[in-house]
Amino acid sequence: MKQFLGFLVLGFALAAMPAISAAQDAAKATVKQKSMAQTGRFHQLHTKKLAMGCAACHKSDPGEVLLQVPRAKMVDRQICLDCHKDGSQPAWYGVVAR
Amino acid sequence: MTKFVRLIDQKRCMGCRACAAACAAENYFTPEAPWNSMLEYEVGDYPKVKKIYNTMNCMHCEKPSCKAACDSVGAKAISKNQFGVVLIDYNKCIGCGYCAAVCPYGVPHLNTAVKALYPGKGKNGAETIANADRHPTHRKKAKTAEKCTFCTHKLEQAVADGKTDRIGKDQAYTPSCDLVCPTQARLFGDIDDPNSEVSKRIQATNATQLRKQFGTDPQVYYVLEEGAKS
Repeated sequence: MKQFLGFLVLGFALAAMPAISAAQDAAKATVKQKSMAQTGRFHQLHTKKLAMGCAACHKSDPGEVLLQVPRAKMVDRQICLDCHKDGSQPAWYGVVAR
Repeated sequence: MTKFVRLIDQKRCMGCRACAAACAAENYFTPEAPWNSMLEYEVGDYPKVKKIYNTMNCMHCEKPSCKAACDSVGAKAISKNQFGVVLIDYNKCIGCGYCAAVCPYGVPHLNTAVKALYPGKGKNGAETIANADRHPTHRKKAKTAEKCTFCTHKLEQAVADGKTDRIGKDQAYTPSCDLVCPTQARLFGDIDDPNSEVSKRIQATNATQLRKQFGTDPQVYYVLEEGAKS
C-alpha cells in the first residue's frame, strides 16, 4: 500500500512538472515583455497599437533640461502626461500613493 | 504628522557637487545609477547670461508616478512610508524600467549591472562591505531600479533612537547631501512643523516645486534663480 501511494505521489509530481515549468516560462515571458526594450510591451504598445512614430517621443532636442536621463534617450514626459493623467488608464500622474 | 521635505536654494548653490559626492560615499554609488546629479544650464542673452545649477535627487512625490507605473505592471516594488519617503524594494523590482520612463524628473535609474568603481583594480572602500552587512537600500543588484532614499537608513536610525525631533539637525539623522553643502543651499526637515527651519525658509523664500503640471506634488522645494526652469 505504501509503495502504491509512493508511486501515486511520484506520478502526480511528474505529471505536474511540465505545468510548473510552463507557468515559470510564462512568468519569465511576462517580465521580459514588460521592459523598455524596443521589443518590450511598452514600445510595442505605443508604436504598434497607438501607431506613434519614434519621433513622437524621441526628439533630437526635447527642450527639457530638468531630466537626469542621458540626453540620447531623453523623452520629455509632457507627451506621457497628455494621455496618462489621473482619470485615464493607466494613470501615472496625479495618482495618490496608497 | 511628520512630513519630511528638502529645500534647495539655487541662489546659494555654486555647483560644487559636494552633495553628489556625499551621496555617492554614503549610499554605495554605482556608476550606472547615480542618486544625486547636478544639472547645469545657461539662461539669458549675451551679455546678460547666467549659469543655473540645479541639483536633482528623488522628489519623493506625494503622488509618485514611478509607483503608479510600478503598480500598473504588477511589480508593486515601490512604496511610500509614513515619513513620505518613496522607496524601491530591490527584491520585488523586475527591472522593467517603467519607473524611470515615467518620472517627470528622470530620477530612477536602471542599474543594468553593478559595476566596480575602479574596473580591473578590485574592490575599493565600501565595495568590500558584504551585502548582508548593508542596509537593504544599499544592497545593490543588477537589473534593478535605484534612486535617492532621503537617506532612509538615517531616518530609521532616528526612529530607533527615539530622536525623530533631531532629523534635519543632527549629523546622524540628516541626509548626507544636506549636511555637506558649504553654502547652506540645502535644508532638510519637517514641513508639518511650522517652527522648523525648513518650513520658515520655504515660506520666506516662496520656494516652489519643479514641474508642477504633472500633479505629482514633490517633497523637494526649490528657491529658483531668476530665469531658471521650473
